Amino acid sequence: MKFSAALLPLLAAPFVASEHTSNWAVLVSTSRFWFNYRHLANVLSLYRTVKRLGIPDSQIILMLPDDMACNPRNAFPGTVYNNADRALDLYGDNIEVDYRGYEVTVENFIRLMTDRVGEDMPRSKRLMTDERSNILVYMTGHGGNEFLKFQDAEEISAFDLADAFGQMWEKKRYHEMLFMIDTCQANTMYSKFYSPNILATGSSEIDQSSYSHHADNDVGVAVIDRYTYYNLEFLETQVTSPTSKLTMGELFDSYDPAKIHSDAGLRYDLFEGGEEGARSRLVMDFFGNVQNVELQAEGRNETQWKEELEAIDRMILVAKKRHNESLNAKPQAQHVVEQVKPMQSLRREGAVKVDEEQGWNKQVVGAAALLGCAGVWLAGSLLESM
Amino acid sequence: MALLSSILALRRDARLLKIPPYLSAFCIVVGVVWLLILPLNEYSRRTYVSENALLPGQVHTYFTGSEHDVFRAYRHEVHGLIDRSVEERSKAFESIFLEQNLKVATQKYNYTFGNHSITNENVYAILQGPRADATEAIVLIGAWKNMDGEINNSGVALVLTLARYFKRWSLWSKDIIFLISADSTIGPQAWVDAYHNGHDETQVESLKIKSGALQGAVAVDYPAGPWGHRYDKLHVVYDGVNGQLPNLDLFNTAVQIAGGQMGIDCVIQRMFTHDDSYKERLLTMLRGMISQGAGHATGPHSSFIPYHVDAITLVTVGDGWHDEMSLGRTVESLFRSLNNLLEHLHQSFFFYLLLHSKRFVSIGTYLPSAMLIAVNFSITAMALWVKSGRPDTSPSNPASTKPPIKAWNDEKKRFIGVKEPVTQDKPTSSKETPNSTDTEVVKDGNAISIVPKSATKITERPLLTPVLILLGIHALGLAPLYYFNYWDTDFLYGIFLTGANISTLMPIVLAFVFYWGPETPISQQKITLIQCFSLLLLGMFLAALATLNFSLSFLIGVLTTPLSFVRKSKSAALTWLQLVILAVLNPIMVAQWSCKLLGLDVAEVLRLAATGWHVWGMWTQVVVWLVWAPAWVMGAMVVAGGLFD
Amino acid sequence: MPATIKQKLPVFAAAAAIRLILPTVFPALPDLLSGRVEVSTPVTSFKRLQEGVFLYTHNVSPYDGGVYHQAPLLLPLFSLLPSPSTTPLAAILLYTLVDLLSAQALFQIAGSGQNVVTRLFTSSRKDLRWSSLAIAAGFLFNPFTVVTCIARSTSAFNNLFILTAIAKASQGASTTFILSMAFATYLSMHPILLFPPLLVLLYDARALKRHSMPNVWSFTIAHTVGLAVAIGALLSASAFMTGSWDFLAATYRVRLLLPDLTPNVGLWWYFFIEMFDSFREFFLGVFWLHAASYMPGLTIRLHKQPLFVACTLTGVFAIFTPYPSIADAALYLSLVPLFRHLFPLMRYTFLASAAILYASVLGPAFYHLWVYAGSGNANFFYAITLVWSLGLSIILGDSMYAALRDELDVERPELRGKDVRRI
Repeated sequence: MKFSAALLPLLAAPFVASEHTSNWAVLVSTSRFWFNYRHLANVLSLYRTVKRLGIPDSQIILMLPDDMACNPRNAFPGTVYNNADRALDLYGDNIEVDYRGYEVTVENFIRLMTDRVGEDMPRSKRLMTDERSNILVYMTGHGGNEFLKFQDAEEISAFDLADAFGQMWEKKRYHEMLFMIDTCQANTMYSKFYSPNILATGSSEIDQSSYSHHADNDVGVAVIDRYTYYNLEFLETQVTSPTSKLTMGELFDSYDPAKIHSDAGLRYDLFEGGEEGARSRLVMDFFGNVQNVELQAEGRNETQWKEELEAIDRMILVAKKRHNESLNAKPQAQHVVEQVKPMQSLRREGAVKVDEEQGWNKQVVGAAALLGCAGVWLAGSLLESM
Repeated sequence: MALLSSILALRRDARLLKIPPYLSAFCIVVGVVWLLILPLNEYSRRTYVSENALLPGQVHTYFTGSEHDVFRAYRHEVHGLIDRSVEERSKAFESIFLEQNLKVATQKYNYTFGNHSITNENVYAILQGPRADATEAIVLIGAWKNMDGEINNSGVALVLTLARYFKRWSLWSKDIIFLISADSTIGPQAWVDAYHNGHDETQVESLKIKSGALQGAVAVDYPAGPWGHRYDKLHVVYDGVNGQLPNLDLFNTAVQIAGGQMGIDCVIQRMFTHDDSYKERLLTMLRGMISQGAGHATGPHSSFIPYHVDAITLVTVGDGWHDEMSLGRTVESLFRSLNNLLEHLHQSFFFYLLLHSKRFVSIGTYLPSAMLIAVNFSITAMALWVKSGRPDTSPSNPASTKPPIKAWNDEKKRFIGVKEPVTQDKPTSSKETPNSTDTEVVKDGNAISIVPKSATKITERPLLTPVLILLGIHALGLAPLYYFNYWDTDFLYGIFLTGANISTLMPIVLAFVFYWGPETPISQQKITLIQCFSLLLLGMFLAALATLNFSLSFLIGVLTTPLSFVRKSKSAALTWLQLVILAVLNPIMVAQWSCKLLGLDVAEVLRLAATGWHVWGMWTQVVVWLVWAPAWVMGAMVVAGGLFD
Repeated sequence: MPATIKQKLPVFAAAAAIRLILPTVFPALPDLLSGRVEVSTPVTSFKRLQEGVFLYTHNVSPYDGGVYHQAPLLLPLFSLLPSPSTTPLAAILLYTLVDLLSAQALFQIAGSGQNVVTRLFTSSRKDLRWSSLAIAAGFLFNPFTVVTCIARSTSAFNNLFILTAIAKASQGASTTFILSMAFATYLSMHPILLFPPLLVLLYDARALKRHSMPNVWSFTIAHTVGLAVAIGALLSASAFMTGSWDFLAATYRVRLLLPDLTPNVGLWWYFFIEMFDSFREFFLGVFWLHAASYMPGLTIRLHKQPLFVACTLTGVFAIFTPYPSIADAALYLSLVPLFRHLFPLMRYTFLASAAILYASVLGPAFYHLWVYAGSGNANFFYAITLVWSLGLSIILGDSMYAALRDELDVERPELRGKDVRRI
């Protein structure tokens, strides 16, 4: 009985649209500086969209290397817009930036994806996904053939990214992944992926630049990139509610090279079911949260449920006990460590008043030393002349 | 090692001695032709903005409408100050800036040199960026008088209006300094010196308030009176003191904003009509080179450039339909671009020659021309060095005659000692029949040959006398350097005429002294060595100068090319011909005829040069008197020796 | 010899006058020059010395703060002088004295005749030589020496002790030789490499002087022990004076490991800026091994001309040590005229002097472009330091060729004047 209960969701799988149980989004801008306003606006736009479609802040990792809203050059302090009509302030009052400023590095990004983080890393900075999670990874910045620059200081290569995703797959950290990237020569970035169930799309082919959509002449900078702009256009106008049944195929078909000014690329081959499988996925599978509410299967009885609860209680008790045991053991270990510490006592230097010496001590010592040298020299000469 | 040996072996080749003069001439010709082809499309490039942060012309400008009324009011107010004293003027500006809630200060300066003193006062105000961290600043300059001495009525009014206008924006990431300098070159110099604590406190007052590191400066020159004047084009002036230039990005940004955003054409180097033909491009480039080579201040911006602050001046020219507001909007847009800067301008070129407001040549393309000219002197110097190590029988001009046989021997052998016969390691070939009766027999194993003694004779080079003469003549240059800079400015023209006479006669007198002096006559070898060292130094200085001030190096290089070819000649006609050519190229005479050609007053140029020395820190004079003049004197002296043979 | 003094006096007086008049006429000159990287390196800079003296007189360890890297005994000497901000000429006077003493040492070296005639070797061109006074004047009026003196770089002391050591060795004066050798080593470490060739020189001079050959082994051991004792005494005195042995790390370790990458005229700084940290130790080892390896080779091959070996080694120091300055080049270029008899055998004198001349003009120009005008970069200056080093190495290599050729001419007179080819 128990076994079948555990199997239930799996059995139900063919009947529900997706097999995943949670949705996560990793939204990364990799460039800083005022003239890269649009990259941050790109990310914030997407952030807003996925939030609208139901992914909670706790499941969105937002990486912003710079703070455009508070840049002194911003003519509209405290705001970020992605359109010259300035109808929508992306910054609003409910933004949770998880990695900001100089925290946005290649190392932090890879650690986040592969969950190789320290014990004290806050939950908000961790991607706590499992093999039932769908992840949307969106990146934007300045890139080139098989690399993406992080903050003008370092770059992540297509190989690094592929290896990170490969490791994620092995660690069962995702179920399906949508990788979107908006940068110059973006399609090269996903060319090295090898782990399964990744659906990838990029803004431009090798040797193609990605262009900005338009500039806001009052802000004085370009506010959004073309590829992101048209993705958003689809998501905002077509995917109006979390119940939308639009498929990824429809989103991809909306890409028009004439509008984007570059050839957006797609990669289906890693995905289960290939092109067909990928295109038939719902947009909401990646951009929205899981909405399936499964009704209790019939035939479950109260007693079984109670038994299960009791079993859990017992497990908790055992775990607590084990924890207490380890607590008992720990103080001793700490004690030992503390005993060692005083041994390697550092030489402490007290503050000394710096003051010019009043007397002639130094001069006398100096003169004596010099006279000594001269004396030895004279003695030497004398010795020789004898 | 093998390579070295083969190079060494090459040195014996008699034919090599013939080459240097031709090689020198070739370098000169290539150098000059190189410069002449630069204006072609193949060698020049279109300008472009390479700093991403600048984003030129990407903002709406709002300096219109009611600001126009404010401007007109300020223009009248400024016009009313024209006849007032300096103190009253400063007071008026101070009160205007104070009304705008800006921090204001004044700075007095008083330069005294050559019985002549320049006293005046700068006023400046600092707008602190509301959300900025006060570590950087940009400067807007309106000089009270422009380069032509006209009152910069509208320009100053525009600075005042823009100060009021800028104050209302909250988006400045840098402080903005509004500087109303008393004139176009001395006032800004005093101010920028004091800003960087590089001033002499006895002459220039220290600044009372300061801001952060200067990132750029823009000056406006718009001398229209109280009733305004619609202009046609903007003349962008960019030359700094000593030929240093601002980063090309600043210039490009200004041209792009004025041309692209505001529809105002930009011109450079007083080429007010420019049809982008080869001829016009070349003319623009040459004017730019003369201006750069002279190294004087060309506007209020010039003083900033030596402090590594990129700066330009926008001058209104012609009659057209652009009004003061379009100039104001150009400045506004330019300041928004400068405001976007994240670091000092560094992406683009610091060394360039502009052919047109949208075409330039970068240093890699043009530098070889000056270097080739400099190298020509080094080649001749080397040839003369080799020649000086040979017996004293060679004729004066190596280019015109055949060198004696086997004289081009291994240097080592030439050195070995006069008394010792030198064996040849190879038998001399039959075609090298001895043409001298004084021969000796040389044995080498089985091979026996007869060679002229003159070939195996080698001479020591007496270095001391030539070096002392060289140093002495270079030291003599200090005298004119002192007189032209420290003497009473009213007598400068007199000194100039005296200098012209003295310098023309000096080589002949020197030659006379050396021929009838203690060592009579000075040996040909020493003369050769003097010329060798002189040309070596000249080539070296010009090569170094080419990296600092390309134009000056090139111009001096071209004007001194005859020094590579003049030799002592036995023919009186040839001697006089050479002397006449050299007399025309005497630095003082060059100053005289170039002033005539350019339509300048020599006395005025001399006065400016003295000002440059004392105020701007100009070192063109140093190059002229300590490099060019001594080289010329020595060249002429060598030739003049022919008169006393 | 009153005649020599009569000749010497005007030369030395003129040299002193130049050194004193220039800073008097241009008061900004000493500070300007002491800030130039070509003259003042981290281990010889007068400005850093001032910092050290300040800390010393304020009862703080002079090595705190990591600015001062020079020998401790310089501190009491300079703390005796009045402050350079009030009496700038006091230090100049001291440095002038040092230069004059160096010139005197050079005069003695030239007078010893060891440059042309040694115990085992007599040059066939021994009559071709400049007078001792001319050689001393060459040192005194060398612009590089004058600039070093006015910049008050402590290389001047180093040069003095090296020259004195050579002078004493060529006179066969053991005790003072050991003392000056110890001082030179104490001040800048690398002169210890001069000890073996100078020991040979001392041995030759002693043998010539006393017409007897001391036992080689006892001679070597005695002098080595003497040197060790003298250096040990100096170090102990320094430790006693500064209160700790910290100065060893701050002085000699800095010279060995090159932590301060301020540009100079040498070859190391740029190389070690560019290098990945993981290779640093390896290349430090390689560079030092290279610099040190000239000593044994030259000493063995040219043991008949130890003075020439010492001179050549000073040239090696001027090129291949971590912190060379023009002062080191000045020392080498002043010793080269001792070998006037080799000049006819040298083949690239013009090339080398042109390279050095060009480098000394272009170097400051490129440094200006890099640091002040901001329109050039470090490669400009480094390229010129390469030319400078090239010029010096040409002289070095060419003079070695000439010395070998000179030996060959003596050994095999029949080859005289013939072209030799190195295979």
